[in-house]
Amino acid sequence: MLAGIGGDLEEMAFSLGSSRWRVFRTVTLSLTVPGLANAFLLLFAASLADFATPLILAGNDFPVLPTEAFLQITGMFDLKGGAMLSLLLLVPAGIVYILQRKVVARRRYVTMTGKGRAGTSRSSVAPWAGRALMAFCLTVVLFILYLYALLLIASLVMSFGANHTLTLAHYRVIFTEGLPAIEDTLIIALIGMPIGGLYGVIVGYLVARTNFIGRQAMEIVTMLNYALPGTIVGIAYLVAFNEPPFLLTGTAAIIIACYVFRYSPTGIRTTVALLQQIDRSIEEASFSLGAGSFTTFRRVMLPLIMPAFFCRPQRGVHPLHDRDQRHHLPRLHQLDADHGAHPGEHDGIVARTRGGVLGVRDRGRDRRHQRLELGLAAG
Amino acid sequence: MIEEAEPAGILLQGVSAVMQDRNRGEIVAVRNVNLEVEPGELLTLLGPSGCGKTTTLRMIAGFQEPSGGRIFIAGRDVTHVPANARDIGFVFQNYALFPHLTIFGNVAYGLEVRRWSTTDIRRAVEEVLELVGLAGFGERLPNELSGGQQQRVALARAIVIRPRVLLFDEPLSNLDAKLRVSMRGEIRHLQQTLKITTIYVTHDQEEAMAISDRIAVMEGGRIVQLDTAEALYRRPTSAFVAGFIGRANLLHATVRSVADGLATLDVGGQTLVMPADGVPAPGGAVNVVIRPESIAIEKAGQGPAAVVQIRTYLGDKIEYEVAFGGQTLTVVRFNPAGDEAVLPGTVISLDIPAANIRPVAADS
Repeated sequence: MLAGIGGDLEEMAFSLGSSRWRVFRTVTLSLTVPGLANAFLLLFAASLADFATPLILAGNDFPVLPTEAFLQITGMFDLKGGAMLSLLLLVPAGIVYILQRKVVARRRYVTMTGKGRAGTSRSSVAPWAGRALMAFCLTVVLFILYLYALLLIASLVMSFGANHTLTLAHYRVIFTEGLPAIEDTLIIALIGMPIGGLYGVIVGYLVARTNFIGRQAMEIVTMLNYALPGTIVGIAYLVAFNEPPFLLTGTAAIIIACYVFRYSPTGIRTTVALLQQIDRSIEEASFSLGAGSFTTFRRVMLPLIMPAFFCRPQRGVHPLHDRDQRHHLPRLHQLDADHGAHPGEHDGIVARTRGGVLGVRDRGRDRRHQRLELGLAAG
Repeated sequence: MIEEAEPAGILLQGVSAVMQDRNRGEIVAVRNVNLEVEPGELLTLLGPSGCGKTTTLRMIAGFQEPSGGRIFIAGRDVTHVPANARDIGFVFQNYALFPHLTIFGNVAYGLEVRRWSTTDIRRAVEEVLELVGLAGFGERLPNELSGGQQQRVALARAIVIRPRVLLFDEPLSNLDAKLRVSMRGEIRHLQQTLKITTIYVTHDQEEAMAISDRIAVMEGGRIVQLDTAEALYRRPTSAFVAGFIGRANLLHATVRSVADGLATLDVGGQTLVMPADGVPAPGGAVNVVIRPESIAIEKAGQGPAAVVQIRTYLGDKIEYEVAFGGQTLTVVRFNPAGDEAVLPGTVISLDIPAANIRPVAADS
């Protein structure tokens, strides 16, 4: 999102006498509203659906809807009660969805107009503020590292908290008995990732750029899965695909389908937010040059959207774009070599790359989160 | 050199556009526009913002479907044909270059879509980049180019596919004044060389006059006058056109008498004489326009009297505001001589040749 906003808008605000904080608040932040609103929606839906975290952290002392619904179904075999509780989850999710639409719909957020710009926005943060933010981020990073270190130690001792004798016994178990599980997880994730990513981009494109009857209904339906706890979705899939001709229960296909459809909202919302920043004239230019909507999507919109999902994605995913790659990949290296000449460009590329890395990390977290959830559901 | 395609005519029959606005409801952006563009002609749609010129252009391009009427390109009804099947080239106000493609990739795009061979594409792109003065820029990315260069790329991208119709949507409004003047010359030159039927949208009357074969002046979703630049300047039919093409004084007058092809007007007690064409019968009210530069000032002449109120010295010209028959006239004298120091308060007489007074339609 941030990489798509030209430095000139911030510079403009500076020239009008705004302070750095004011520029951040009124220009930078305002232009990222679609992204923030989408992130808010996703986070809200995810916390509504979060099952494992409250269960582990609070146990029975702090009952939340997802755990209650799960216990209704698995503990008391009350499918109807569980379904009812799950449906309740959709009410707040729906309200937040409507609010988010209202906030974003009011204005235009186009910053990528197809008119290239030079210029940098590196002065938009005051030196002291930059250091403060850096310190804050560093603290967060250290805390996360600390948590991972705890996990590592726990995996290396007999019994964490009681017996701190070093051992590799746990790893032995994992890499012998647990190997099929690791393999399956990886395979399913590897298959699910490109399908889910592409599906998310396509649906996001349809939602943001096309107009057909039922478009909004489709947008809402794609969000529903996300607001429901994974357990509930899993049970729903189980029930739905338990009979021929859709007998998928027990196959990898059902897990992949579940992954793709349950986690696609991340991709859909990112795509929608990005598209709100891309001027329509870029698409129209493609049409005017004789490209149909499919070609336009594949050759123009997809490459513009994809960096949000992966770091330099076209290479692996779209061999068709190799010709274009030849044109600008060497260019990047050259810029790296003499970034003194093009400080603005260099900045942009680094920012974009960082965005890509963050995107990948996000997906990784989703997977872990889901595995934990499935593990609990199984156990 | 790029081959010439057979120039195509464009015909609009009763084209309208109704748009939905969240706050204001239905807006009629274009009302019943009829327009015929000759093959090979450069026609400009000129008007203030919100007059419907861009909407008209977008409908011709196929980006927007008209809510009524029909559009023909080269005799083919394209009203419901999508943009990518209309054989057009479009140059956008904001260039709309594909930010992820190099200059070469941008220009080659339309040819790749048309499945040209790699060697043909390379040759055609190099030719057209040469033509717009950007030879050797192929490997750069759009954001490494200046605004003028980017607009040249947009132009190259549009003409390399040899469209039968070229459409420009305020292509120069993002450039600085000097660049605008040189770019418009280049656009005109290219259009003449390639003989492509072109529709050009702008709100800049000077730009329109400089490059167009004909100009359609638009107001409130309608074409109010369509003619050559010279005819629009000399014979505007409305005060709006007179004010939009050059500068104009609008005077409200009453017809005193009509005789021998000349009409005598009364302007607050003062007398003006003009050709009788289009002037109502004696006693009727008439609006006339007079160009500021067509009025001469005499310190003691035979003409109607006026009083100088403001005198502004501008080097190559002097602008006067004079009170005339209870109304105000602007008078511009070019290349002023040193003795033309008519100070405010001076009573002067005006010399207005009859042919320079034009009747226009009642106020709009």
